[in-house]
Amino acid sequence: MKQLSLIEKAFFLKKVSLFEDLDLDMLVAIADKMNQDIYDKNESIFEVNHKAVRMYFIAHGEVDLLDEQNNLIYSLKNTDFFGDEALFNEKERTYRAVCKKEALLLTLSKTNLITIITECPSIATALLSQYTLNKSCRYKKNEN
Amino acid sequence: MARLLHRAFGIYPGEGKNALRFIRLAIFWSFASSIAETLSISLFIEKVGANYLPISYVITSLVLIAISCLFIYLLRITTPHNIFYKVLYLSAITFGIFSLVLIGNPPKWFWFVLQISSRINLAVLVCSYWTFLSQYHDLQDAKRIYGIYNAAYFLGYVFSGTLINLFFETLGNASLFGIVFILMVLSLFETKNIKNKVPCIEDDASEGFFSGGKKILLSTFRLFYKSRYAIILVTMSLVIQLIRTTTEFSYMKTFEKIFDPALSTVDHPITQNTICEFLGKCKAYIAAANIVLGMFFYGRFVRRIGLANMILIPPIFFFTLYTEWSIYTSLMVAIFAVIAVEGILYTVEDNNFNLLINAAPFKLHGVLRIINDSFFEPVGMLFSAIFLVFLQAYNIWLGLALSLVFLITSIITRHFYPTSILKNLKENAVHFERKFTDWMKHLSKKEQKEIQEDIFDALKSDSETTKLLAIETLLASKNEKLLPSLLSHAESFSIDGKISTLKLFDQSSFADQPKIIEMVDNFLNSTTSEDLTKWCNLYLAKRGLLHPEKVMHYLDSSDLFLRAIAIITLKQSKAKLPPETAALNKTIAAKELDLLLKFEDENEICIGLTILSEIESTESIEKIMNFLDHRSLKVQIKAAEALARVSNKSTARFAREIIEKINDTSDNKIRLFCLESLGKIADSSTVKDILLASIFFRPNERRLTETIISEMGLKTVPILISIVKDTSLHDRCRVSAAKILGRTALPQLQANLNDVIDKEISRAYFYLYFAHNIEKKYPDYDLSLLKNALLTGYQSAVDFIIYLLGVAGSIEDCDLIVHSLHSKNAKPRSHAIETMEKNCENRIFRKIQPLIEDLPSESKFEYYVNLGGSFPELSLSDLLKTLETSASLFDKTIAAHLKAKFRIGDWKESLRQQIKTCDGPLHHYAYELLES
Repeated sequence: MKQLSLIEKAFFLKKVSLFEDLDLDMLVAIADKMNQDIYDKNESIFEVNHKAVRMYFIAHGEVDLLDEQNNLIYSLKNTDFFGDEALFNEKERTYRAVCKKEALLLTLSKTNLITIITECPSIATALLSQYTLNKSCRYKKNEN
Repeated sequence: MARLLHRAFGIYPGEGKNALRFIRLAIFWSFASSIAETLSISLFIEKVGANYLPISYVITSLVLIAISCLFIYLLRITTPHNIFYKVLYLSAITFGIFSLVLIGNPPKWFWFVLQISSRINLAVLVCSYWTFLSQYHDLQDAKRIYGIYNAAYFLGYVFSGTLINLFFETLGNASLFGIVFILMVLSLFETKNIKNKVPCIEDDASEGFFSGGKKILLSTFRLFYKSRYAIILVTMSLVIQLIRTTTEFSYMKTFEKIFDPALSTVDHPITQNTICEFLGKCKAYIAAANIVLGMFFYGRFVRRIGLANMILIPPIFFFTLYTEWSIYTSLMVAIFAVIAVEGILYTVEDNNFNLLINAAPFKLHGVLRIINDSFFEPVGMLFSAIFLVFLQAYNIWLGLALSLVFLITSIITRHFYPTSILKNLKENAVHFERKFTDWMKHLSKKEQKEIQEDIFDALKSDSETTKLLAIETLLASKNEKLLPSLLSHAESFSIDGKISTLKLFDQSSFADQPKIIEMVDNFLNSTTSEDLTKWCNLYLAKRGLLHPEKVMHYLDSSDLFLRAIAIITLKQSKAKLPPETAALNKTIAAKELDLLLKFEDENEICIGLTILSEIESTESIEKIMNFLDHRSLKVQIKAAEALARVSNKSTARFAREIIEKINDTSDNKIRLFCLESLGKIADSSTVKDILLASIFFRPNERRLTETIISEMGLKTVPILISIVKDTSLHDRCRVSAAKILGRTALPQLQANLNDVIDKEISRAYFYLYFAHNIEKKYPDYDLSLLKNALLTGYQSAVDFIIYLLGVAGSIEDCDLIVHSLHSKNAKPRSHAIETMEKNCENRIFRKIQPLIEDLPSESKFEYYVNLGGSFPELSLSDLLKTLETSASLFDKTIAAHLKAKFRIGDWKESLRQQIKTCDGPLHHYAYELLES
């Protein structure tokens, strides 16, 4: 699988809901901080209880999120992102992420994510709206 | 006593317990490995014979090469802690089994296994221990205490030598290997203890590399290829291995000549054991010296002369040694050679290497250590063996040549070290300040071409968003040659795509190009879409290319868009009309425009403002200014945008009003447009007001402020210098002034630097001193707020100093240094300190070093007093009076609040003064306090 160039990464980010409002200069700056990892089919990206230091964006491929008993939580595809929750609650991973088919993932470190949010608060708002999608009251347990 | 020990060892208060854990661990495993290594080689020679030693070396080398590959793989899937723990675990089991086997009478092959395992065990433990250590220490820690850990490692060797000498006869081989087993188990416990009790340094950069992905080895090689520093460091490491073996061979050859039994006399008897005894004595003294050097001096030397100078000591020592050796051979020269190998290389060079690794790209740290400790040792052995076979008679000349190469590689490493440290820091920075064109400039021609191809590929994408972004990117590159290709792609877009493309062309530098006008005409002729027709007409109208007759009827349309097209056409049309008709058209347009602007509906006003933004005249600006305070935010933004389009140097009289608007609004877009407008006005007399307004700016607003002022030129220099020096102004405002001076007038800034820095350093220590002592002095008062204010003031003063030093030291990215110093991640923090050290005057760096390092406050005060500083004796009342005169609003507010709360002195009178002299929040707060 071919890795993305800087500009391809920027173009990809424009399609990710978190970054859709950002201009070209911002996107290129963020793209520059994105690492690329290629995973095989069925390869684990992270496991439950792993320390979390980065979040992932799916550039190509599909990723399954599984719980400790290997039950499917959600299937993700191109432009979806995952692994961000544990960066904010500073806890270890609470689910597994496994590639359903060969995948190219872009990763963003916690330090860089925080810096980007400081510069573009709209990303924090976009993240908040994602978190609140399935929550009518944040004190309740997960509803899905 | 504890303080004395801390000072003697260079350990900071609070660090002692953790340092002791690592020291204990180093002693345990080095003690164990050293016993195993010494016994295994002597048993091998006794049971198998020295003739078979080369075979064991070859096998050891090959196994170590395989292990280093495995090590790189393991680092990808697990942490350095787990690797070290597993190595210890395997070692404990292996030596436990050896201990049991040694009770009986093992076969010959067992001695091979024992010898090879012990050598491999030592090499792997050394490598994994240092990788493990780097999880817990940053560069600044390493400079202070890695020497101690190295000394602890040698202490393990001393213990093992003593134990074997004194108890070998009593205990025997099996029991001694039993002790090795026990020591390995103790190491396991200590490692677990460290994992549970010592916090790791957060390092998410390395995790990125080892997190997964099958192209890991490929990316390692790519990283190596790109990092000149890593390449030179690895080269130096190989040269060191070569020189180590060559020197060992050379001094043994000299000893053979000097201690030839044929030269034995009655006074100086020489036996076959003389070399062994003499070498043993030398090594014992050197080991003791290594411990003392590591414990007490290495860290201090590094801090005093800097790592960049320290790395030259070993090559200079070797070069001097071989130069002398090439002239004459003596016992003293051979002894110096032993010192070079056993002392200089083990203590100075090994520690240097452990520090130098920190400047390599984060992702290569682990790999570099493995290459140095597990890969190059056997490879170096192999290469030098080959060299020495062919050049045995010229061993000294070979050594001289190698020492020269060592010196050259060290000088090159020294040259690349600071840039590599800064490069690592930049890895952590997100460069929002760069435009797309700046990114392109940083790329090679080949990469630029590849990117261009990627952009054209994106134009064929199914996604309209990607296509538009690709057009935006191509337009941003301002390359006229790309225009025809771009236009041909635009033809195939959907209606919405074409409209968006028109908007992008409208904002671009190619907006008036005939090719684009032709494309718009083609769109008009071929489309049936009303929307696209409107946008095409607007595009042409803005450029005066529509005839008034064609659009006159739009004036009566209910569609605002069409009316706007008509008004712009009447105003701007380049059609050849009789003068009276043209004048009439303009009058009609002006009336229609006024009508639009008088509407209540914000959409109509916005259309009106869009039209105004196309007309550069004082009258338009006056009209636009009226809408900056409109109740609708949408209108305000549109007005600011229009203002930014029409402002120019002749509209300077509106500058103050625009600055007032910036002060009144918190909207990012309005501020940016207003700043753009001030940039176009370029009135240097507004610099101070702009900078005063910038105190509460967001990062992108501050960047734009600095850009527009620096573009105003050298006439702003005197006012900027006065702002930097003025302690009554807010630090942020002074920092911006300093940053602009750094771009436009660096020599002037540097000339005024020392006075400002000295004052700021005193200010920082002042804040810190009282933050830590005022509560102790007045235990009956709740002074937590005051403490917070003082700590904030301290941080602000330190940041100001760093910015100023960064700018004056021509550090391109001083924001990055300040952000790194505030980072939770200790590694970028330590690299920022290292960059500061390399870029500022030693006198100043010594003063600020305690301020930026993680030292306990008491030690910082002590340091400052030792440098000749002093702290005033102030009462609470005096301190609050001082804060009242501070430039910080926070300081003033806290001072007013506490004076009123504790009814200190003439608090009412000072509040009245505040009301008279201050406005804004403090004015209101002082009033409230007086009323309460």
